[in-house]
Amino acid sequence: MSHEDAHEKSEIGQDQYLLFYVGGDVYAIKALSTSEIVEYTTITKVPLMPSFVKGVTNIRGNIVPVIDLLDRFSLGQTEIQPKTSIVVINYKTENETTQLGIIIDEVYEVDDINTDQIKEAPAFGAKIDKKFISYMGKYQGDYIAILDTQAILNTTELSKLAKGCV
Amino acid sequence: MNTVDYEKLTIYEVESFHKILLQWCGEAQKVLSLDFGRVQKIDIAAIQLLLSAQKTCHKKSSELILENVSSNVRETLRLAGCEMLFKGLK
Amino acid sequence: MTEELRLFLEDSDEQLGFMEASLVNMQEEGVNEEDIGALFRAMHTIKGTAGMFGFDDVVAFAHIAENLLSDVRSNKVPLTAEMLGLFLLCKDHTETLIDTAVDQKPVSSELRKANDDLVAQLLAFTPEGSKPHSQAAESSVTKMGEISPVQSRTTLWHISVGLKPDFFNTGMDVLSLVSFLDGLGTVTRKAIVIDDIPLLENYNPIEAYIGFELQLDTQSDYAAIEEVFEFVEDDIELQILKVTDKEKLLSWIDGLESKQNKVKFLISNGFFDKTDFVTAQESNQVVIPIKNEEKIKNSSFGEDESKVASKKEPHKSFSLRVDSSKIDQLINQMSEMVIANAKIAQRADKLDDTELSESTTIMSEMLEEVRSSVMNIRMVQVGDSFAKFRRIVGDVAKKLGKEIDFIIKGGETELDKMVVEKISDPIMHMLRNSVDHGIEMPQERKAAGKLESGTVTLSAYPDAGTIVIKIVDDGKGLDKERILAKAIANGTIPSNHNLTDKEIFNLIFAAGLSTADQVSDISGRGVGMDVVKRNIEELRGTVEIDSRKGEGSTFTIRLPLTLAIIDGFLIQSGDTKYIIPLEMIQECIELSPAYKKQMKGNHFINLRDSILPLLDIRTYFDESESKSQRENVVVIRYGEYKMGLQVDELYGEFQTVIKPLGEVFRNVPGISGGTVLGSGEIALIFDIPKLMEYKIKNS
Repeated sequence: MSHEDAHEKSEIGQDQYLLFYVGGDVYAIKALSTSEIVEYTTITKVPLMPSFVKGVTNIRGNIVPVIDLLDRFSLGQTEIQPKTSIVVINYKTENETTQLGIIIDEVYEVDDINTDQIKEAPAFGAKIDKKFISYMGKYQGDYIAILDTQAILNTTELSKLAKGCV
Repeated sequence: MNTVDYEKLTIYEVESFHKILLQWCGEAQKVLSLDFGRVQKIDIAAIQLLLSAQKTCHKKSSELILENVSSNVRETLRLAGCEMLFKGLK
Repeated sequence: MTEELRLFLEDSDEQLGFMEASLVNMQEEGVNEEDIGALFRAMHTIKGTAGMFGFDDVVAFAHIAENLLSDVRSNKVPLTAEMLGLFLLCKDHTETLIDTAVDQKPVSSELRKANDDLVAQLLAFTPEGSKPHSQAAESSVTKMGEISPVQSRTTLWHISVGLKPDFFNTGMDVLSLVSFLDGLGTVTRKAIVIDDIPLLENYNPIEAYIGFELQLDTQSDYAAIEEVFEFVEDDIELQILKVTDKEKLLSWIDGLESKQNKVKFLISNGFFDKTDFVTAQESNQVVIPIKNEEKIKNSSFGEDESKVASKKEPHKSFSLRVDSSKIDQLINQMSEMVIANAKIAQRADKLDDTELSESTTIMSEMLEEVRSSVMNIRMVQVGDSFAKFRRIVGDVAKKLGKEIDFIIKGGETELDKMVVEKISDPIMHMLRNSVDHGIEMPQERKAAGKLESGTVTLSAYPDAGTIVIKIVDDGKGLDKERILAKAIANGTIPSNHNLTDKEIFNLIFAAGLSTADQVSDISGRGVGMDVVKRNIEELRGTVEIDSRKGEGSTFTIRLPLTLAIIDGFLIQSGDTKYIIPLEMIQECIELSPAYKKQMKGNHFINLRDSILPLLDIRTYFDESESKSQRENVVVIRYGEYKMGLQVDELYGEFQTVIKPLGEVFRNVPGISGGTVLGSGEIALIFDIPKLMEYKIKNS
């Protein structure tokens, strides 16, 4: 573990996490990086985008892109259910913070995870791409993936057109 | 004599100076004389505060006197048209 | 940089612009009073504002220039061509001084020398009597009681300044204003008004309670005095009147809350005499005038009149500096209101409540009016910004030894302020190009049978919801062969191209393509036209070139009126709703079986004897087949291009507030943004020019 990682990790202990279901599994993201959770609402499809970019939705008058997390993990597409929600995440680009939404099946809990319960992600073996996982956190006896939202919402990857050129 | 312990007496200082003046005016008997020796710069907000202090003194029949006023401050008071309003300036 | 400093820079830029505009105008149209006045005021304003920031070098220099201008204005010194040139240099120098001061750089010895040279030249023109005292900066020393030497046509003014409670928030130094008055003439009386200062117990240190009464002996007029207080006009109660103007004095006093105190104060401080406050009818009573109803009416009428009169003062068009984000916020809020109202309208429809429906109709009309008023705040005439190009064209022409008539047309055309600012650099570059590469040398022109002096015209006019800016020159035109040769040489196009003339001309917008054989320092550095094009496109505009060999070139820039709101037309294709800018829509037609039969697999139809290429949005965006039976075609015109968009549903007009879609969607071609519909849904906004360009390029 690099020195920087260690530093980051020691900070993690003070954070709260949002735990939620996607495709039947529980994942966590730092509560600090989220701005709100809203009910799933109409999403306007934007053409030519990769399938995990579901489109845009209206969050308090602002247009916010919405990502299907399950699809982003290449685990299929989220089926919209009554408890389907959109977590609005603050995504930092070089010079500004923008908002992006991710689709989740259901909110599970908002809770602390102790620092000493946080471990490096395994080199392989996880269901989702390792690049999306920051750490693994032990919560109520189970290890769950703490997601790296900066990697999941990486603008360069999201903005690639599905079909190259028209 | 009370020493005015500011180099600059401007809008940024008037809030704390106001508190000091309140105390001094309360304590003053016949005369409240202020040593302006340290003050090099004054602005209209401070002048206004001094005029209030003067009024307050007059009300309880005491007198406000400015002493050791630097030429800069004197000049500013003159520009404000109130060098005649304060005692101690000649 | 602090907000104040930024405002100062903005303001002085504007003032310097005024100076230049009036100087250049006088160089061309001859000396006139209006321009002299404008010049003087600009210099004066710069001096005033620079003084508030303590930029002494600027103040000192501006003071000397202003002094001479003041003499020019009062016809003591004639304004010669030589002086016009000198003042232009002074304008540039002032600019440099301001920049130096703002950047907190030390004044270099070069600059100091330039300063001294200019001062010497200015003083050479200044008549002995009105030369500023050796220590001009020392005008802050009051001359109370001193009577100035008798000057011709001075007037005694009474000035009353009351500070409003939050005056100190302005950060302005009222004493420096008082000392500026000293610069205008002689302050013969001055008194500070202290009646309203509370005792220490009730004193709020950051509130202003005081005022000043002043008497000023000056040659300056009302407007010049008023201008001293220009920057604090909202934060003070200001009254300026001639000491002899009894009527105005009485009406002023009468409008005050504490008339008696004010009158006592003015008399005891020697500003006025008891008798000054006595009206003719009341000559026996030495009391506060005007007690009965009728007279109050009269006097307030008098005040109204004086207000009207002051409004008639020349150049009194007041402007208000507002942070543009405040207007953006207003527009955002407006759009939320439009959306909310649309929701009510929908509900009213559902409930079949005609009364409510009518109300929402009225509401939406009113919202539309408010919206256009708000949008109007952002609109400015392009003329002011165009004027500064005159000098650039003149300078460049002079440098190159060319003769040029520069004509500006349509300066009254209004455009969003932000657009005007951003388009300024591209226009400047294109003008330089026209003068440098377009217009020939006089002898060359003569040989070609043309007038020796070339003409460059810069014009602006509205057209079909856009603003067109044209730069036309009657020079030698673009050299197709040379452009081609260069483009082929540097690999921009293949040698076996088959480009139209227009496409060839457009090559000059490609990076690194400059056609001048000799790179001059005026233009032709190879960077430029590509940047010009990019800047224009950033404003959602386009630029086109037309040129004829030997006859000249025309650059046509087309810009949207504003950046924030457009009138849109809502359509649906597949699952997505789209907005097409209304101004680009010519008509909507149904794609009837008859049309379809005509098409025979082609993607165009015959529309009233012209061929209309069709673009199916679904296939363009690679989407599933239409579920809808009806197919509609929206006929779009942009510039001289036409095309039909095949869509599923037409919904109608919609006020579209453009919002960015964000970085994630930056690569989607032909979509410029999104908007929130009344239902809360989002529609995507077509970027028609991009769409067309893309389509034309790729077919």
